[in-house]
Amino acid sequence: MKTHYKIVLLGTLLIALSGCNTESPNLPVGYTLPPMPDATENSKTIAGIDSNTNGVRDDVEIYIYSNYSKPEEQKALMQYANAKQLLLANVKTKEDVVVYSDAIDSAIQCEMKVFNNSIRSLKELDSQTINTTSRVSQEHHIEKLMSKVVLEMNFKANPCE
Amino acid sequence: MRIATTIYSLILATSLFAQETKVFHINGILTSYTEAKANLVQINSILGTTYKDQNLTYVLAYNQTDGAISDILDVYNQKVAEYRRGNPMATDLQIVIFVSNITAALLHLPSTALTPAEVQTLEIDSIKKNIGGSVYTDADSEHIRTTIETNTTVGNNIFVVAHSQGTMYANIVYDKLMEDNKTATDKIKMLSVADVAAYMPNGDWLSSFLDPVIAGVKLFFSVADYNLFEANNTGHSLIDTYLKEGTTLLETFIVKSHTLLDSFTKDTQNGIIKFTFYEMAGENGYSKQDLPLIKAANGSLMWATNAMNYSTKKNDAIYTFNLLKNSDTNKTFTLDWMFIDVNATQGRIECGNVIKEINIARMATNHYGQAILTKSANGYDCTIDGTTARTPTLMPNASGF
Repeated sequence: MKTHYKIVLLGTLLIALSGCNTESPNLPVGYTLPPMPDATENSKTIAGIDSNTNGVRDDVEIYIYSNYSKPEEQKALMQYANAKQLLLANVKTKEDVVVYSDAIDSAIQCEMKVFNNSIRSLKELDSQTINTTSRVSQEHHIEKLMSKVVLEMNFKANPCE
Repeated sequence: MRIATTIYSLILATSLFAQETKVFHINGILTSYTEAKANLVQINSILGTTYKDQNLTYVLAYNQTDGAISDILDVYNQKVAEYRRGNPMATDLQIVIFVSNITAALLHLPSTALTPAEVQTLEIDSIKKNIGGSVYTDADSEHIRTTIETNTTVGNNIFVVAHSQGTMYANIVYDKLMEDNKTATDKIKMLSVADVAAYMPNGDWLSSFLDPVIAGVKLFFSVADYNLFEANNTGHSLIDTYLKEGTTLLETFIVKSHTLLDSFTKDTQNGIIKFTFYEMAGENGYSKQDLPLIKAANGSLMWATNAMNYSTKKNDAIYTFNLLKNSDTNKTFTLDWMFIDVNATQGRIECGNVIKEINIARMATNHYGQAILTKSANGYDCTIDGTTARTPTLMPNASGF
């Protein structure tokens, strides 16, 4: 019985050390998550709140680190969230779609590489990201614009940033 | 230095002889742009960036989702357009009956995400739009057509991989391209995956017996037949069903893609005899007799009236024989032709690397010719004999034809 307790204690210690953060066991060393933003304030604009200005909305960033533990998965989804944020916040015309396509293309390539060709995590992330009427409307606007241009996709040997 | 020169030569040779093939993807309904782009990434990971003498680049022609209602209204109207194509004399009543069949199909399909009331609304909208002789054309496809035309004009090949409803878009685009008469059929090939269209104009399709969406559509409409059964692989998704690793569906996708891409390879193109005619008699274009009578490999005779661009318009007519395949070695193909009572024809015959100009004067006597194309391990060789009168015994008497 004593041995059992030791194993549990050791396990807990190892998990704590590998997490290296008291807020979440999934966070890498030295990484601090932003605080969860006020829901009303965060929903007022399409861009929402990005208090640490890393290009990813705070609530989306918290979602990623809370739900994915592997560093390469976290990085891939942060890359996608960043590219998605660029599209949502900036695209107004067909020309904008062309400008921001490369980032989203690379992010999708990276995600598929990391998640073994599954895009389920991207679908889930999209549903977290496109979560207000104005964001849904902007996403629909982007889709309309995207359907009016024929876009060549660049493939990179290392799409992950 | 020598190595550098060799590498430079190789690069030069590659750049000189490589062809550009654009792989277009057109997605189905209710597909986000992220999913559509992911489809393209997966197609790229399967087909790669080069195939034989072709550089493959990948293009997304995104078919937007307007939500279930609007997307399915598109399907209504595309199916009506397809029906009109096969039944050009269809009456309004027949159109109404056809549309009501679509309604019945939708109500039986699994997970259409629409209520019966919404489906009824769609039925009414489609009837309003499609009766009275109007023909549905989808403006969404116009930029795809112009992009393809721009590419084929500069000599690029187009390989369209369409999925689900995208197969109907692909057909609309192809039909418009052919109406415009600017794109040669040998520069564009299509592979329709989970094909819900009723016809395949130029290429191949891949539909699974265990695809529930096709099964539902097939209950009510004419769609391409299933051409593959694979146990334990059900679904309609491009990535998760048709391009799923380790499946026969994926293997078949690869084989069909490569077969279609093979038709673009220069190797194959060297193995053809190609007739091109121009400056035909008369301002109103060709008559049947402006084109040659050709003796085919099986000994049958035919007028080259299904030549590319052959029409009542004054234009170049191109007639191509794909005689030898890449896999053929040490084979010889002989082609005989004759012009009968031609008013006046100018043109050329290309065979391997040999080009023979033809210039038949007005009211000339009959004109005979023969091309012998050989493929050996060293490549193609061709001789053309056909300046004037070959021995007419090679061809039957024209009066008996």
